Amino acid sequence: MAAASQLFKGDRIIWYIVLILSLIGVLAVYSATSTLAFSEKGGDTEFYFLRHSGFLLMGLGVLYVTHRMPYQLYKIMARWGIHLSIALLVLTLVVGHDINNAARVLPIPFLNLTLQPSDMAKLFLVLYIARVISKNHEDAGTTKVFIKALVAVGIIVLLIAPENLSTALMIFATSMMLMYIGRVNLKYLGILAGIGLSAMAIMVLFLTNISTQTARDLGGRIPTWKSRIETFSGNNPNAESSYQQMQSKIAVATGGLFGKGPGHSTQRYYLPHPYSDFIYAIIVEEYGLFGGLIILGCFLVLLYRCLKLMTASPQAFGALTVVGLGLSMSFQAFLNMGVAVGVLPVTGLTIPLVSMGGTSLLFNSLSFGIILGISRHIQEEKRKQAEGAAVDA
Amino acid sequence: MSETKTHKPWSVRKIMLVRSALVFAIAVIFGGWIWISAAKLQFGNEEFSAEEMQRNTRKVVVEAVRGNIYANDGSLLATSVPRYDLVMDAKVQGCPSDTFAKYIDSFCLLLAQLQDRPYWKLRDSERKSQQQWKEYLYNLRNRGIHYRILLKNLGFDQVKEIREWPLVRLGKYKGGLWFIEDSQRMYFLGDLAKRAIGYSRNGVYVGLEGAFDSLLSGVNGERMEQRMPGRIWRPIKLDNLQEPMNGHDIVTTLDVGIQDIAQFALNKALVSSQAAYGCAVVMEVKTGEIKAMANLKRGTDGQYYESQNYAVDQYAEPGSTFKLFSVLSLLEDGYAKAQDSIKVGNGSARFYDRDMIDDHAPDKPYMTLKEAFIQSSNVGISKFVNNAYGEKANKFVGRAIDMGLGESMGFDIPSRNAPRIKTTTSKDWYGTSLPWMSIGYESQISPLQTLTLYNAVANGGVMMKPYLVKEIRQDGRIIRHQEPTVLNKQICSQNTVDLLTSMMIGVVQEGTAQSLKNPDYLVAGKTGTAKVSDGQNGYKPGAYNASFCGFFPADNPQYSIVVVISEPRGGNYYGGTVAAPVFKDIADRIYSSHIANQPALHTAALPSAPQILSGRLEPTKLLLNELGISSSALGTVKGGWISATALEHSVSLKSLAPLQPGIMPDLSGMGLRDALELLNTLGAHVDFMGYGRISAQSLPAGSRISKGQSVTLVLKPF
Repeated sequence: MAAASQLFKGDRIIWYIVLILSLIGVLAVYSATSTLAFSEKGGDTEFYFLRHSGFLLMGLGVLYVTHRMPYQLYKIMARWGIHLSIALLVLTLVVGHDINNAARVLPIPFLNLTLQPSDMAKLFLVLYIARVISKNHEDAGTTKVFIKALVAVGIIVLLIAPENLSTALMIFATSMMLMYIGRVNLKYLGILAGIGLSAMAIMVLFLTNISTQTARDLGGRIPTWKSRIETFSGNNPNAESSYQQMQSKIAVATGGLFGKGPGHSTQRYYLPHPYSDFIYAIIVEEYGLFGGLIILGCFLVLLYRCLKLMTASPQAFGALTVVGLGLSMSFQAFLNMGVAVGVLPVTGLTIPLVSMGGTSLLFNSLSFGIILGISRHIQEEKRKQAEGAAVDA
Repeated sequence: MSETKTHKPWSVRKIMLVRSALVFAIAVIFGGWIWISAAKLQFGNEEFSAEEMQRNTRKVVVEAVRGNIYANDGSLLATSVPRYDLVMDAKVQGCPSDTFAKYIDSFCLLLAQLQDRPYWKLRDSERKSQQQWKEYLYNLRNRGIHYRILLKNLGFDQVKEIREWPLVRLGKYKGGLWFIEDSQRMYFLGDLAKRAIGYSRNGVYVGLEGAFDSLLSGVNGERMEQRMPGRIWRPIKLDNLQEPMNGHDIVTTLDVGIQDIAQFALNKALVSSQAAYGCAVVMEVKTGEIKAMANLKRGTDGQYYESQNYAVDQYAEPGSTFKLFSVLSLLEDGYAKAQDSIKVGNGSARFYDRDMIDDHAPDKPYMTLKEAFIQSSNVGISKFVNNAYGEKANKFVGRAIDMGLGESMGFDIPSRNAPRIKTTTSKDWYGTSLPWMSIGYESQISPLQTLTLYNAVANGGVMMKPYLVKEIRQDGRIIRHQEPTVLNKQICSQNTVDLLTSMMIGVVQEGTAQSLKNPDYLVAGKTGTAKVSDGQNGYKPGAYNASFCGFFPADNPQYSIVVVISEPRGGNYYGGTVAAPVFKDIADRIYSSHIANQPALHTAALPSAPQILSGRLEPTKLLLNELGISSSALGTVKGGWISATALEHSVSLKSLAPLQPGIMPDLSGMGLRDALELLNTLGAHVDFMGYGRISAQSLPAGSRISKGQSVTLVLKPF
């Protein structure tokens, strides 16, 4: 025990959450990729299992190293990460690879790997906002703070939106929440929320009122967005996304209380990307409502622990970073789950640490690493205070 | 100041705490909503479960193996063998372009080289050069074709070989090539007795295959399968839901050798007379076993094919062969004796309102009954019958009915038609009906019925039921054995039989079928030449059925044969000149191989290594291994055919030479069935005499052989 607490520092419950999510993720991905293994890898069912496990181990390595980093390094990340993210996002728009008709990934030269910069941007934007607010801790409600944060949020969201609207909207919403908790002026946030909602409303109206042909002519992701919105509002029963949503619902509906058992999903044959976008459907199918509750509970507990850490954090930066990262990951997970059970339109969002995807695993591990690092820092500060108090006494 | 300083951070924390509590509350509500939505999906959505179940499990038919059909010596006539098709998914994702490009040349080369192997029966579309194959496959790939059969009907040996080929070796998902299995009916004799054995015509079996379909086909089983990754279905349980019951096997009475002779002889006659169709049936006198049943019809290409069963189906006016019945009736009823004579005048007689005319004007004005039969005088026979039965036609007709000629005999291959004997109560009974019936008109019977009648006379008056199926077996056990069936214990007295036989001998010796006269054995029979009915339109002008029915040796009848040749062209349409030669060809061959030289058993001491016939390599090796005899192959064995030489304690096997398409191989020492199979692949028509192993061949080894060319093989017992 003592040795373990020497090795794994920081919030123990969050460590457990990391463990549970990783394990369930590996199992679900192994099962969900079996179809992909046949269509892409000649029936080598271990291929994706091993690749996912490999990325996960790498991610956990990153997590471990990150959580032992000096607190100052997180601040440095907050300062430079945003610039790197913006640069890579711009680069992706120019030379990105197509996945599902969206230029979301950036090939890494000389390595047969690709990078999805939106995962990176999501993390560094949180750090950046935390930095901006904490630097002006005393007067977070000022226009200056709001504008500074808004510029970063705006650039990131606008760069991601054309190719990955759902991620952009999620990042926008997460940033809003973080600013709200960070005491940014409610008036400004209200206006911003109003603008955001109006823009969305206008967009929805626009998409539902143009013809499919016009949508195609406009190109990009517009036809996909149109189709997804129409499906969700029940106006497009034949669309691809309608099929996806139906398959997902069947998966959830046939899961029962404890599921069909590991590897016994049948909906994996019909769901597109069962290993990422629809991983929650597969989890409920194989592990039932019970398994679904565990994943959901993990993210609720994560959010709760992050909020607890915030109140315990002596530094504003640490407090806001922990809340921002916790919010960001939980919110994203909830959105994925919402799609799977049919309460949200189809999106391409993954569950952090569970879904397959190298970049996403890496940056979510980094996020967990930072959360755990800050919790370690808080614990150490507390101990110092306690020791100081003891000396004083 | 200090108050505000201590107060403010608290206030900041408080605000943040309240706000985060709010955010958390929203998260809990959202999470709860998600989970409850998931739970709600599980209730009241039975159609989801039903759909899921239906999509991911399936009931599959486990096909029962269709039974085999055997000849009387146990050789296979028809069997079901697994055949395989090589299928390509030209767009399989597991096969990137560089892999495809890497192997495509060698793969196509192997495909192209298949043409050099005469025993791989390729379809035309499978005959492509390497370059053509390559273009074809690239074309499929570019078009993204996911399913295309490249090679059809492969045997297991061939599959074993192709499995090792480049690209194929990579497997279904990486090479995009795999085999699909199907069961195919194989007929070992090609066109021989094809119609009697049967085959599937547009999915419906004809011949024995059709008649015994319910026994042959067995009962299919069922099993449940579950969907697995990669388009694979796996049985859910080890046991089938319903086990399949394999079909029964059928052992026929057919004799491969006699069938071959009959078909060959019939074909020859049809070709030379340019007839429309014909049939020849050989029956064993004592039992009624059908030894051969050949049916040929002219195809649009002028060749003759086994496409309709005339022997069973052709219910037509038999013509003069029916005179046997008339004379039998007269003799049995005591209305006439063989030596009684009647006036035939110049060969014409008037009955009621119609003239009866003889084909050949008689050479004297009076004829005995025997002479009228031998010369096939219509006037003579009809006058005898009309005089005797004019007032009691019922008695004449009644005998035919009693004999069973008016109803189908329940033959193993049922007919869609039925015979008809006109009776006095028939609506179309007319004043001329009796005399015309007596010479074989106004009634419709099948060639097989005519044969049954003649066979009864040959069999001393005992009418045997013709049959084609000797045994029905299930998994090797005999479940039904067909004994010969007597249809009529005595159709006439022995005296009548003797008289009829001597008259029929007379037909051959001095009458209308003198071409059958030979010094070796006596033939008894009767010719027939009937006009061909054209339904309501009377008779087809110039169309005749030329027939001959009889048996041999007349002094000890063994086999009876009927030959009917329909609508011969070129002016020669008499039974004695068109049909009788077919009878002769068949009878000569049967006589020489089955009757004359019944061989003594080979009693010489066997050498320590057995005599091995030339033939296929694999079974030979298997047999030698089984017997524990060492064998040595000299050089490489090509094409799987070998000739064997017995050494003192071992057997030396060498490749059969030469073995190329279009070149006659050396068949000496080979068994008949292997030789037939081998020559069949060369497209030769085989004719053979004797039995045992092949000792001589009409075409020397190494000479060119073309498709359809006749080859005669001489067999000698070893």
